Amino acid sequence: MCSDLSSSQVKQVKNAVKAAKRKLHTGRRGNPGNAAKYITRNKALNRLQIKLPEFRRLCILKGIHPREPKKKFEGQNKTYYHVKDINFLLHEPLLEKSREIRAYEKKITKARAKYNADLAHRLQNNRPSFTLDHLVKERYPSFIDAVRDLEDPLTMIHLFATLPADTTHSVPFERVHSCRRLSLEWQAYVTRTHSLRKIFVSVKGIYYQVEVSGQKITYLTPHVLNQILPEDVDFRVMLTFAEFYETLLGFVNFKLYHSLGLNYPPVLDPRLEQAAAELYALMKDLAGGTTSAPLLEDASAKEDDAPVSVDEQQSLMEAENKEKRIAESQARLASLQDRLKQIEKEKEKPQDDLETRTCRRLFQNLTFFLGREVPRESLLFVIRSFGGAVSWDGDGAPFPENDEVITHQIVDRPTQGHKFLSRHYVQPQWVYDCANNRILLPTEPYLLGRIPPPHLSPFVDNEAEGHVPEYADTIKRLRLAVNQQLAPLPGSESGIDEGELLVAAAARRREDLEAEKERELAAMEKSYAEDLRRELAGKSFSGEEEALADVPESEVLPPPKEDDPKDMAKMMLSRNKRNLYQAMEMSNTKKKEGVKLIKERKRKADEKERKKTRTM
Amino acid sequence: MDAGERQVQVRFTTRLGSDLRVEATAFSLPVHLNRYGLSQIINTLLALDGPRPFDFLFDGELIRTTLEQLYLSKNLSAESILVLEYILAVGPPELQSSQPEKDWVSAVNGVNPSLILSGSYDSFARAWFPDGTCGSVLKGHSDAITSIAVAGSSNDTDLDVITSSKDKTLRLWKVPLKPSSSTLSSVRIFKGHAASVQCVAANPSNTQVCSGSWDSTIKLWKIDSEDEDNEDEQALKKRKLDGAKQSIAQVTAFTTHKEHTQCVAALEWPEDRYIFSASWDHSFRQWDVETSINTLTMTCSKALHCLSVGGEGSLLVATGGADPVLRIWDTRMPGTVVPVLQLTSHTSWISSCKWHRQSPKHLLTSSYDGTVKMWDIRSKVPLQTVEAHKDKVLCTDWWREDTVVSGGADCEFKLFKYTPIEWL
Repeated sequence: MCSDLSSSQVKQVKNAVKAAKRKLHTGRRGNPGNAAKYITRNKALNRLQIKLPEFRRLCILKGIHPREPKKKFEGQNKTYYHVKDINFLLHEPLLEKSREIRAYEKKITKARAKYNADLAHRLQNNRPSFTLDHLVKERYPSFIDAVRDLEDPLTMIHLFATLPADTTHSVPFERVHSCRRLSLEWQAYVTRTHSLRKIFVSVKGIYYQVEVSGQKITYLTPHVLNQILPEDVDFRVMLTFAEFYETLLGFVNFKLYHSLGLNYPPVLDPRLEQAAAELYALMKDLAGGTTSAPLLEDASAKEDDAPVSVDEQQSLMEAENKEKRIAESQARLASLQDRLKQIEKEKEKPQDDLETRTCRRLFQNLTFFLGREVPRESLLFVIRSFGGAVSWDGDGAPFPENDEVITHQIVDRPTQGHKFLSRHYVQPQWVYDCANNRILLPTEPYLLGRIPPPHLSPFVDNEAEGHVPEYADTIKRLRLAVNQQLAPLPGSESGIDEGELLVAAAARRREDLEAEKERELAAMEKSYAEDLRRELAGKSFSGEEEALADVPESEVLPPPKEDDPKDMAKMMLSRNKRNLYQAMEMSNTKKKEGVKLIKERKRKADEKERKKTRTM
Repeated sequence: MDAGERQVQVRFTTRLGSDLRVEATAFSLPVHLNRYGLSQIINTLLALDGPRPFDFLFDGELIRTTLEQLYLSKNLSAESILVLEYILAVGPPELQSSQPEKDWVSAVNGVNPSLILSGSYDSFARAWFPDGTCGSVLKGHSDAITSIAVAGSSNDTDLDVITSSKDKTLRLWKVPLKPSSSTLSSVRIFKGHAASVQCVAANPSNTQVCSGSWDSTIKLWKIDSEDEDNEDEQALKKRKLDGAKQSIAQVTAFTTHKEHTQCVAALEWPEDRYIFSASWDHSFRQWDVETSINTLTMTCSKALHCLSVGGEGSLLVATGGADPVLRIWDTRMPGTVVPVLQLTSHTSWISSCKWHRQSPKHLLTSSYDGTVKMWDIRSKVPLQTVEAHKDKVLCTDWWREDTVVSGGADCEFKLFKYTPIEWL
């Protein structure tokens, strides 16, 4: 009893000492509390001496986010920022610059108020300007950082490129125009380097995956339709983002173009630009500069080009009625040269990796013609990226519809009046599906007027999802067949290619099969040992067979025992990890249920189909 | 057998003696036959008095399924004649003797046909004679013995034996070949490792020894067989008579290989030119002895515990490690990174593997699941499985071509003898 008492007393004393130590510790070290670490937004505004919209803009440009402190010491419904972040903003040169601009604006209004039109006009023309260049440098110290962070910028820039310039939402036309230029430059680079990897056309828009400097970048572009600007979107925020992303993408494009030995910004062919074939104009220009040529030579080539374009402009002015014909023939010549150069180019570039090579060769010997009703820009982008030649119905087309070299015509209408026998009339989906699977799929299901097979997303890993759609399976088999045809020698390049393509799938299948195989082997081993024993004992074979039949299945095959160690392992986990594990299990079962649902639906649809055919 | 069953044409060939040869005509046999059925057909054809099991080879593989499955798996036409070669099957082994030891038996060696050596965790190594009696006890190490190698003999009366131990040293012993029970002490001591020595191997010309250790190095030592003449023997006797501890001749390593990054678990010295080593760093390596260059590195996905070189042309390397898969690698294809064969039948880690010294096709493995398995590499299924020990089997080896010795964590040392087999 006595000892118990004393032990509890000792415990109390120990706790007290511990608490005192803790207090002392915090007091001495000055571990800053929440109040010192965080600051509310209003206080931050006061400290920075700016208004809220300006603050928002700065935060976006500098990449500063609000924080969630553990204890919200000034109330739940307030926004908190790190004090460090605010101090960081305090040193921003833009802050000073914006004050300057505001003062300048006041000068203009003052001049106007005094009816001093002259001064007002002069002031208006000499407004101070600012750039965001230093912010790009600050936020992305190395190029690869910028490339890695390119998904949002590309999506935003492509979105703004299709938006209408609108005064009510204050979307200035300059912004739209420069976004359009940047997006085209980006697409031209991707086309030139054949780095487009995946495309998925969804309701939301078209997803593209591009591999640049070893980074996979997935971005979304809107469909080319009339965009309606929704009322509930804060365009000021969007525009601020677009402003920064514009600068960023400008830098990235510059670096990418220079890595290819090209000038930036690229010089556009004015005539083609007029004909609204911007991407083609850009690509033509890009194809003009050879990869191996150093920068200087490239520049001189540009100079040679320049007078030609001036001449062209002059001729345009001189004879406008003849313009169209000349333009057409010149464009055709240009496209021919273009293609010649491309063919030459194919022979170089041994440094390209395997994937790029397969992408470049996919549509190599095919010539496409796009109908008026298909999305021209997207198809132009995809076909050119995968090595095909392409023309379209419209101004500035490199070759007309009745050209004999055309192998595929892309149409998206129920019927076609005149059909050339020498070419396939396919729906746009064929191009996307071919590009995603890296093989030329049979055109038959995609022909004019048919309901094409499902457009499967290349971003979904079917085997991980647990459900492989029927068409994916068909494509897989086709791919296997094609690759086997392409692999005549074991050690040749295409052989490696095939291996790489199949390795992942094979590994997964192997895992599934392994357990089964092991069980089979075990059964074989057991029956062999049993046989031998019986034979040595002198029993006849037929008798043995009956005896073996008596042995229940469960005895021959040892039941897979996995639950027990799993439970044990689960017990050993910490609570956090166990919860995580449970969440994982839950999501897995959900996934399985989803797959089950899909399979059930598929079964029902099949049944319905069968009934229909029977009644017919 | 019912008449509706399908029949296939089978012709038998063999390389066995004329008394076990059947005529080379094609027989029509039902497809449900497996090895047993075929064996019985051969038995009746030969009119043998006692049942003699045969094993059947098709296309260099042993048949373990029915003929039907064979046809399906090999994609054969049902009209073609199946040519099967038959050999004598290996019967289950018989337990010859079982000897209790004081502690875990961690090493066995059956290189010499007149005696077997075993090493134990009680720091003693023992020599056993065919009748199951314990001959000499090798006393000298201060910690568990991990591996034993035989380095030939300078004369007919005794055998040079090298043991490695957890006490960081190796010792050389001269073990008399004649059955006599005695306590021996070591002739030479090899010092230099910084941690427990895990494995030892002598070169075929018996002039050098290599050892691998927990300090992840491989050290090479010279045995110096010229020195140990009668003087040494006399000194040994003298020491024994005196009972006093005299200093033993010390040897230091002349080369050290440091490329491994983890414990070196197994070594083999198949030819004077090169050494093979396996390590816990998932790799096994080949070393050129003359130039001390690492000429080949193969990487496995698991830590390796054992390695054996043998097979066709002594160029196949069998490795076992921290998983139940025995992997066989072909060193003639240095470009490849995958094993040529993976044998899975054990249910726990593999502790040792040994190729048969004469046959290029037979292999022995022991595992922590308590079994010793004999494999024929022409089949994915083991030939024989012996539940040798009640606990982990730590070591196994062949002795006199038809006997298997094994030692385990149940402190037993066992001998199994197979019914006479003709190794092909």
